[in-house]
Order: sequence, then C-alpha cells, then structure tokens
Amino acid sequence: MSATAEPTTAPQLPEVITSEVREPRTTHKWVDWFLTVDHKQVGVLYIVSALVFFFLGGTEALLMRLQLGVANNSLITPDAYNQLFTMHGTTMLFLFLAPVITGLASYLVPLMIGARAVAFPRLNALSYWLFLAGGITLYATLFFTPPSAGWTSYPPLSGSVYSPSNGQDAWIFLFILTGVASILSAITMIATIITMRAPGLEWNRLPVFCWTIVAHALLIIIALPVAIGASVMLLTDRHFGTAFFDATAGGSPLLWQQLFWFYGQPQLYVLLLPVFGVISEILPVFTGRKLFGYKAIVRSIFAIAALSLVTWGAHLFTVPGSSVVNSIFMIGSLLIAVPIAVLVLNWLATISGASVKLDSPFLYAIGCVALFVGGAIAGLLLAIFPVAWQLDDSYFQVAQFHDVIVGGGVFGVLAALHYWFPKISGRMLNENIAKAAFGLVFVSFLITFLVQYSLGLDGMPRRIYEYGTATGWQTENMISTIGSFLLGIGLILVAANFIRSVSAGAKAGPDPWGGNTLEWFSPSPPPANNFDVIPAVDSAEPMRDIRAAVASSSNSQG
Amino acid sequence: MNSPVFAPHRSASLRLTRLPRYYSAAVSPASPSLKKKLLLALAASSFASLFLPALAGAVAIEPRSGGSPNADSIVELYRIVGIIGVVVLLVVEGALLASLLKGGGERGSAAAAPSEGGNKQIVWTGFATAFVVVLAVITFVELPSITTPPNGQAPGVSAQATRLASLVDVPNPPDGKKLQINVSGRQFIWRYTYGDRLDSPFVYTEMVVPSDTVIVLQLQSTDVIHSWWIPALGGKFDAVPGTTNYAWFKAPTPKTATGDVYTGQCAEFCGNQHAAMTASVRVVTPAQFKVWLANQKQRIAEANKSSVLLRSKLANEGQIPDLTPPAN
Repeated sequence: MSATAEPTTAPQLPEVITSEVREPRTTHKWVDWFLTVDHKQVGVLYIVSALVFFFLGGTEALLMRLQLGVANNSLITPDAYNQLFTMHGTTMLFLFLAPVITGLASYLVPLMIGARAVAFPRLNALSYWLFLAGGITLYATLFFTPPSAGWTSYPPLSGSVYSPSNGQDAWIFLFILTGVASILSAITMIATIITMRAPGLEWNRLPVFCWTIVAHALLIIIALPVAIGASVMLLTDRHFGTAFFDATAGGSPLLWQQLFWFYGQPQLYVLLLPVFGVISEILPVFTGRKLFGYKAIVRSIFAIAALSLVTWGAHLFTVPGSSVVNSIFMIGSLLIAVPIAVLVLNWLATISGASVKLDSPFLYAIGCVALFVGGAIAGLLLAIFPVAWQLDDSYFQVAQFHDVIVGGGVFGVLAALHYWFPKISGRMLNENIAKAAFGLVFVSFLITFLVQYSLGLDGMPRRIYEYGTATGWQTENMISTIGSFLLGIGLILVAANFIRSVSAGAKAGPDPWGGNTLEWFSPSPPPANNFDVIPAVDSAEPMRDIRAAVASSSNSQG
Repeated sequence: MNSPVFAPHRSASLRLTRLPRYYSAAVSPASPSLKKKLLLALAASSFASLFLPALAGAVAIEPRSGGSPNADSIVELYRIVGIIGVVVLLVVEGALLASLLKGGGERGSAAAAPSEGGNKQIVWTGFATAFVVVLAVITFVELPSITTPPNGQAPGVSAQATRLASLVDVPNPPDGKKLQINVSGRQFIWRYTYGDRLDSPFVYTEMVVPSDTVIVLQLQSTDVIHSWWIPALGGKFDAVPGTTNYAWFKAPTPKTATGDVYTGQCAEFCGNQHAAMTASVRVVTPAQFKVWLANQKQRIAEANKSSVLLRSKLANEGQIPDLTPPAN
C-alpha cells in the first residue's frame, strides 16, 4: 500500500465530494432511524429486527424440545404446544429468514453494484415497516390467543369452526403484511440492479449475490401474490361467508394446499438462492481464487428458480391423487438436483487444492455446504413419492427441512453476517469466539437433528405434543433436546460476539478480507452516499483488478 | 438542490491506479497448526455425534416394514436410493474436509486453480442428469409393487365393485378380490366401517382384518384433514373432507393366536389432541375374522336395541322428547 503515500505522478483523482453528501433529516440520531430511507439503515433495521425474532423463535423451539425431552411430559399443555410450533415456524420463516435476507440485500446490493442508493428508497423503507407491523401483529397475540394451526394453516383446521380464536386472523394479517413487504423489496431490488449498476458493470460482471437476489426477487413477485390471495380467501371464509376451502359447502381444502405450496416451494429457494450467492462470494475471497464457473453458477441459480415454480406438488404426495401426477412432480423435484449438483461441484472446484484462510465466514460457508448437501440428499428420498409416503409429515421430514433451512439457510446467513459484519459495523469480530461458537453450533446442530431422522423412520409424526413410553422414542428425543440447548448456547455466543464487537472490536478498515466486490471499496461503515468516486468495472471481481492496478502502478514507480 | 444520493451516475467514473486514502492493510492470519487440530476435533466430534446415538440404543435407519408387500417394496426403494445418496454424501463431505485441512497458509500459495477449459460443466450436468434418471428409473421399476396389490387368498368376504374416481388411483388386485373398509377420521379418533350400508358393522381405533387378504381402505374425514399411517403396513395417506383417498395392505398370517397388532398414529396435524389420535390394526386368520365380524354385528345390534329401549323409557318418563317416527 505504498501507493497511498503522497502521489506525485499518479493520475489525478477527483476531489472527495463531501459538500454534496446529504444532510441528515434531523440532528437526533434515533429519530433518523424511524425516518430513514437510506438502504443501509433500512438493511440494518431489517437485520437487527430479524435477529430479535430469531431469538424469540429459538426460545419457542427450546420450549418444544423441553416438552419432548421425556415421554408423557405434562410440562406444556397441548394447546400451548400447538401455539408454540405454529409461532416457531411462522417466526423463523416469515420474521427471521426472509427478512434477514431482505435486509442483507437492501444493505449490500447497492454497494456491490456501485450505486449510491436503491431505486425506490421510500418503497424500500415502507417494506421494512410493513414487515415490522406483521411481526408485531403476530406477537401481540401472546396477550390474547396465539394461532395454533401450524405455519401452513391448512383449512378446515384453520377455518372459523376449528380455530375460532382471532390468533388465526393475526396469522393471516402477518402473512399479508410480510408478504407485501417482500414484494415491495423485491421490486426495489430488481429495479436497482437493472438501472443503477456502475459503469462497466455489465450483466456478465454482476456479483453472484446480486444475481441470486434477481432470481429471489422474481420468485417472490411470481409466487407470493398467489399465497397472499389464498390467505385473503381464508380470511373471507372465516368471516364473510365464502366457502373456498369448505368442503361442506362445495369448496375444497386441497385448493389451499395447491395455492399455498405454489408459493411454499419457491419460497424455499427464495431463502436458499441468496445463501448460494453468499457462498459464491465467500469461497473465492478466502481461497484467493476466482470463482470457478461463474456462468454455470448463474445458470444453475435460474434453473433452480424455474424448476421450483413447477414442483409444488411434491408437498402433496399423500393427498388423494394419482401416480401419473405424482410422477410428474417427482421428476421435476429430482431435476432440481441437477443444477444443485452443478453448483456444489463448482464450489468444490473453487476450493479444491487451494490454500484457504480459515476465518469464521469461510468456516460457516463450508459448514453451510456440508449440512445443505446432507439435507438435499435426504430431500431426494422425499422427492420420490412412494418413499415420501413413509417419510412425509414424520420427524424424518422435520430433520430434513431443518437440515436444508437451518443447515443451509441459517448457516449461510451466519456466514454472511460474519463476512459483512466488518463492513456494516466498521469493526472486526473476535475471531477466536467466532470459531469456538461455530464449532459448538455445528456439532450441536448435528446432535439435535440427526437423531430426528431416526425418530421419523421409527414412526414419530411431527407436531405431536407428547408420546408414550411404548413407542421407544425416549433416547433419541432426549439426545435431540440436549443438542438443542447446546445449539442455543452456541447461538447466544454468536450474538454476544456481535454485540461485544460493535463497540469493542478492532477497527476493520475498508477491506479486511481482501474482497472481490465493490462494497469493499467503500469505507467501513460506508458513508451516506456509499461512494464518493464510483470506479469503472472491468470484470466480475473489480476489487481484484483495482488491487492489481495499484500493485503494478506502485511497482512501476519503483 | 439535487441530492447525489439519488443521482448515482452523476459523478465521473475513473480507472483507479491507487486506492483512496481511507484504505489500509488487511488483517493478519492466525497460526495454522492449531487450526488443523481444532478442525480435526470438530470433524471427529461431528462424526461421533453421528454414531454415538447408534451406540446408545436402537436407531432406525430405514422405515418399518414386514406387515405388507408395499411397505417391503418402499424399504427396498429407500435402501437403493439411500445407499447411492450416502456414497455421494461421503464424497462431497470428504472433499470439503480435505479443503479445510489444507487451510492455514497464505492465500493463493497452493496449487493453481483448476482450469475452466474443456467441457467440465457439460460433463457435470450430464453426470447429474444421469444420476437423476437412474433414481427415476429405479422408482418406476419398484412402483407397481407399491401401488398395485398382489392377489390375496379368497377373502371370505365378498369384494365390492369400486367406483372409478377420476384423478385418484384406486388400488385393485388383478383378480379383483379384496376387502374394502371405510376409514373415517374425525377429531381425534378413527372409525372403521365394514361395508357401505347404514347397518354395516363398525369399530373404533382398533381395526380387525383377516390375514393374507388384500385390504383396501377408503379414507374419508368428517371434520379436518387427518392422515392414515401404520408404518409397517405401507405409506401414509391423507383423509381430506370432501374427497376419498385410498390405501391398501396385505398382512401375513399372524404369529400369535390373538393376532398380530400393527400400530401407528395420525400423521397430519389435526388439532388439540393430534398426539392422541392413535390407530392400530389387528391381523387375525380369516376364520377368526368371520367370527369377530359376526360378533361385532351382534354387539352393535344389541347395543342399538338397548338404546332404543332406554330412549323410549326416558321418553315415556318425559325426560327426553319422543323422537320415534310415527308407525305407518
């Protein structure tokens, strides 16, 4: 970095623009958080709120594991247990995983494409407040009656006859509010990426994370309105005398399942594709290599997205149907394994034989791939419908989707948070704590969920609040409960590290990892305008070019 | 005044040959040998967490079977796919672990990155597609033995004609001989009806069936969605209000005099007492079944008679309204 010494012959840089940085709306910092339309502040609001909900959802999970730790436990009433798993699933999917990814996108996409804002800053801010309203709507039911029909809310159970409490209505409003929030954010992201890329940042140079956000946003825009419509139909069924899902009046409960999973299947990839993007960003940085197969990875991402839109029937293998229909959905689901295999092979090629830097983001990224691959392979069994007849709705399925959504999704999000924490906060995490926490989280995850595969194979259905001693499920359940509490401790360690490092971490500097994308060009944390100077982009890894140019110019200067 | 925050391309872009002043050096890496030890410990403990439960007690590694040919075929299919899957899993996890154990040095100092040349991507895609095709073919080979019942012994109960339901597969053995039982789910109990007449015999919770006979279950629900699942007798099938679903099984000759009992429970969340909605199937010999069914008919008739007597007695005493239809 000798080039940062006083330049004499180096080309002129424009003056740093400080006068044009917008004045804050108010001098009170906390008021600014409410009024902000800055994509970074909205992103931070999204991420922090999502993490709060993550710990609420985690507490619910621990209470459930406590109840299931021993046979015939009477710690928690059946009603409370049903409310717990409904709140847990709803929280983790709609109030943690989806918004934390939206927050990361809001924070990072403009920085990665060299933009100074998102295309629709107010829409982006509205998205956050709608999401928060949805979360508050759901959690306000703690003071009344929480919903208890499961996060999938299948009618007739979620109808007015079998779920008369207004907790179910709160669930519907949560779904509508967070759904609209996701759509607004998706529109903002697509418009931003299409119109606001830095000069030279052509489509074939777009960072993979941004590509995955494009696919993620397209899936949201295509699939989510269908499910929002369905939830409005459920609302009118409950209160206004319609009978869309009421078999006694000519409706069909299966219609809900078709509409819900038309959204639910792509929703899995709405959550996972950005994680694949995160992995594709992190692996090259910590191996010091180029990402292997950039084009193949981007093609695979869009192949996965397209296939996810035509495979919702894989969730309906046990309803009245025919082998012909089931076979079509089975083949579609199996085909998703092809682009996923291509993705994983490209990642393996990126790291194979490389001398890697084992920092916490890389460890989480590898942990994410390791667990996701396990879940994906178990998923093959659930895609083959005769086998799914035995495994669906059992603890095998519980273990499999936690393997995919927690092992793949949450580990990927943790990789992202560890990787971009220095950018967002300007401080480094304590690496020793981060690595210790990773070890604990990884091992306790396996302890918690591997035995659940066995429970499912042994006939334990999901969503039961107790089981008898004759079932023989005690040992595995006890192991799983112990694992879940270790997992809780690990995640508290992660959170403590974040909280501590925000103020006590070492100064990060703009580019602590030697990143490849433009967000590392900006200071940490980035100023309100992101970039005083927007560099021209010549490749998919502009920071690598900039470092090379700097090195060669400082060499030539002797 | 225009705010630059919303004018992303306003300022001139440029090709940089030096970094802005705020730029500073990167963070130094930690020592490598300790990391390797920690990683090995991590891998070892992950491995242990896989197998410790296996040592602690019986761990199921495949779905239950033994009660019916379809359950056996499902396990066969599960094993083939599972073994292929485990091989793939071990290869991928091994490659990941190997990359971690190489770690700790300076970045980029090891072997150069593999070349992107050739047609690697096409080969990989082709390989993955072939893998998927193999899985699908194996499934279609096994499928008939899972969906179509084999012939059973003459059931001793006359088979009923099945109605064709347009989009729902109805299991049917080649000779058409089967015992059809209507299974009706409700919160939180199963009712089994032997026949489709109003006075057909029925029983709750424990179904009694003859062995070596193709049993076809007609699954219905009177309230919310339930799911019929006796693992050893094949897969689970949902009982959805307004529709009819089908399942079948053919249990072997019982090993005990009182019959073999297969247990299971409702597999679709159905409300407060979902966990208590258990089901069981008692398989007895066809001769025992005939006796049981006749006895059950008689028990129901006696219970109906006594309830009519009680009802008319109470009606006479004025305790309940008289609902007896007027005699013609």
